[in-house]
Amino acid sequence: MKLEMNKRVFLDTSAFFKEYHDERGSDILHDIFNQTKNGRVVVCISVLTISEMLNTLDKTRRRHIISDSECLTIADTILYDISELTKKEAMKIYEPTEYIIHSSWDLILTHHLSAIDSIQVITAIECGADIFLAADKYLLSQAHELGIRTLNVQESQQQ
Amino acid sequence: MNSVKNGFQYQSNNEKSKKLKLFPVELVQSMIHEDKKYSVEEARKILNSRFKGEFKDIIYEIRNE
Repeated sequence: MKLEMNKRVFLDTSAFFKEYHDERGSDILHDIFNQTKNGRVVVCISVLTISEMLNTLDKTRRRHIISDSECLTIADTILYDISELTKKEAMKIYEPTEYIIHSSWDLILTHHLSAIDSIQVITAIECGADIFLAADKYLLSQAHELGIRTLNVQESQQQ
Repeated sequence: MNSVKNGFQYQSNNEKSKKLKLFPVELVQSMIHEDKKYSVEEARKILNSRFKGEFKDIIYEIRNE
């Protein structure tokens, strides 16, 4: 599926990882990252996505799927890619402000999202993203309910 | 517990939205320790050959454990 290009695309970690590992939905992510080169798309993430990326790689290492040295080098490679994209203004990394954290508490209680899920959704809305991409049906349904356009990269399904 | 009793309270507020902070890229760079670096294609090739599942499942585990 060809994603209609938007200026600001917010990636949940579940979507972000598909750029670095080929799985269902990776074609959409490769397309988005390619579009950053001509300035048609700006990728937006929460800084928590970097934490989760490292957490996920470490978990993969602890399960002996990748070696210690592969884990560190892959982490460095992704961090380098993030820093290069950010320097070119093709990526924006947002901090969870007091306002985001405070707003997320409401979502935890009313939308039954996990702490990180709720911070991701609020950050996407507050940074003015045109669309929120993830690979989690429940998270996407709640984000859509909050008024942001969504795309399930797993199923190429837009709402 | 107001929000549970009264339903959803959060409403996007443009004025506050403008106060979103960008994370300094220098801090991302400072985490890069190794001299050896793969290209994105090489990193992808290694992950593809080692891991046959989907990372969303590991992320889900981390968020809900």
